[in-house]
Amino acid sequence: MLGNDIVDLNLAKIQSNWRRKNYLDKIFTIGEQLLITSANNPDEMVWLLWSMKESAYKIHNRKTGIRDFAPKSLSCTIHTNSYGAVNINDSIYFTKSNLQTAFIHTIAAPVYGKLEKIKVAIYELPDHPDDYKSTKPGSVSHHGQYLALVY
Amino acid sequence: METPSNLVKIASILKPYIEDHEFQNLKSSDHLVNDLNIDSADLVCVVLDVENSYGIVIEDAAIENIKTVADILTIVESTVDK
Repeated sequence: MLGNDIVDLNLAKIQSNWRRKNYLDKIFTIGEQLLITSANNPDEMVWLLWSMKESAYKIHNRKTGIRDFAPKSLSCTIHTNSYGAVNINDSIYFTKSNLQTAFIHTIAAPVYGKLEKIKVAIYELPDHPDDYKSTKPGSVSHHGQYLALVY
Repeated sequence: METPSNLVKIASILKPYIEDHEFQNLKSSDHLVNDLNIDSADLVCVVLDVENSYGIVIEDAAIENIKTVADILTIVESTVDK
């Protein structure tokens, strides 16, 4: 089981004002909020943590059938800039993120060793393939200009 | 109890977040993500807008149960009535 999430940073910048009052408190744990407020690049940290939560949630959702919108119940730990983990109740999902100036993409797997075996394809408009479903991706993420598929 | 005025008010809150701007007939049964295609990051903004509009605080546990327009109405009407 795989999860992935892509954030178009240009779209996020204009669409989601995370600096508005109480926004961070609704999504992020106290520890995550400390990571954001102490980061050199808080915008990047917000969307890195968000993509980690989303990618892990996609696996957890399929595994458990739970579809509650509860981002604070997903707790992120960053091991390095690229690797991290997300805890949800008694489950843990491992993540690997690709931080670019235009997007942040995170893949998630329930087993750490699987991260390196995941194949990633990222497409930018207007080059999205029409028939990507026929390739049977393990997870699909779409945001703004970007389509991300993992196998 | 669900009142038409609250549905109208919730509709005006949701409107900027609905990707399909031609969407006209909001129903209380509409699912925020599946039917209205509201981005998951924007659900937080919807909650904050509802809080600001009604002068209420929606607890985290209640947010977890928000899936449809009716769920927002239920939270608003049960909180405002208190």
